[in-house]
Amino acid sequence: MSISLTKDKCPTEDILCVYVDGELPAKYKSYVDAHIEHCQLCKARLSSLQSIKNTSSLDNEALSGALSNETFLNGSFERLQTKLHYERNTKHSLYAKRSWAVFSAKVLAAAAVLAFAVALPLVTLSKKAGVQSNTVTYTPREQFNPIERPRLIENSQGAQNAAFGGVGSFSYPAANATRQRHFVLEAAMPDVIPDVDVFKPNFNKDSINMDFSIDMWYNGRKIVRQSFGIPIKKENAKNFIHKLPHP
Amino acid sequence: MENLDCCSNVDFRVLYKSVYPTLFKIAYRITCDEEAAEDLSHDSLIKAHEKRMKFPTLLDAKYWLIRVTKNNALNYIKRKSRERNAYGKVLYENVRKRVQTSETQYLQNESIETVRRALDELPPKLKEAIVLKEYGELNYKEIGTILGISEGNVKVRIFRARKEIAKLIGGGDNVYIPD
Repeated sequence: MSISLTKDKCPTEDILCVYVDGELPAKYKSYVDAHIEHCQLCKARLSSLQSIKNTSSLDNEALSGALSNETFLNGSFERLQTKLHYERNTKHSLYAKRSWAVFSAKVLAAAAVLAFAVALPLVTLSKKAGVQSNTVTYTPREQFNPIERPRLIENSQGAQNAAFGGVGSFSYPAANATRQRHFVLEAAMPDVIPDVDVFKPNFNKDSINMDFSIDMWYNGRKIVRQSFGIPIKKENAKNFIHKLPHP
Repeated sequence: MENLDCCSNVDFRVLYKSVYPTLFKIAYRITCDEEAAEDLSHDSLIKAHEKRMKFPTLLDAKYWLIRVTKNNALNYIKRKSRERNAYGKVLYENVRKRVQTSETQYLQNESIETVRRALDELPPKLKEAIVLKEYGELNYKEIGTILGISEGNVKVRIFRARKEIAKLIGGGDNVYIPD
């Protein structure tokens, strides 16, 4: 916007607009003041712009007046506080619940399979020694010794299923032979992870118990179901969450 | 005030008291919906709190909040108009009705209503500039800061907006001209 003004030359309408807003530099303002004294056209143009501006100003004042009402402001502030609390609780717990569940499911599945791989020979031994175990429903006929550490090879459905693979040796006492086989174990993750929101203010317990039962499959056969409960302390859970990377 | 921390309750209250009416007015004049205006103004304050924003001055906080509110309000009406097109006239009339009833609470003046309707018709770029000018009570420089455009550009937009309003209300016959 170039400003070139003389007393006799009509200012462009955009200059009048700036004038209306009171943002025209003083030296130009005096030109416009002097000009509209004798130019009826510019006076009319100015008053048209001015009237729109004034109408908006009136509206603004009316709104400001209505908004300066303490009752409204305090009420609105209270609603804002409620929303803030809600936001804080839900956002944290949704994020926490999800990542916590997924992460712990993976860790627990890995731990379970490891435990299974190590414990299975022991379980069969303890059977022989006459120790009762309720968790093992199927007594394998073959002795199984993992050679490799089982590793996560597939985690296709999120936290629901995790498959672990490795190499193990299976002994066939009847045939008096030992064969080395690749194995794949599928751990079906429990689909009911306790729906406890540890970040809710109403969460009073010191710890929660997560019950897992993991089914192990080999060649399409369920060979064992492992069930265990893990107590997780509230403060540990919090620390745990803070260490998680942001998704 | 120096170093305003949105996580501090005291600062947050100060921020609310000084900025909230402006945010509300801007959101209200963009959306024409009281509830939406409150929600949108709240949302920007919540965002500042959630992001643990720290501002060097109250003015910086104000500009930031106005920008967020303004953007959300424009998005809101964009979404609304899409919905309106999708669901037909029913929703549109509901919105209108609500606006008119709330309107009567504090303004009876017909010319104000006329100008407000014209404002509603403006394209977003002109609308945001003129709303910030008239309802945000900001100067060209401040508007430029908020919109991320030059001062000259602000002048042009406000001028175009006023021209457009004048055109929409038809020459100013029915416009209230104060004495």
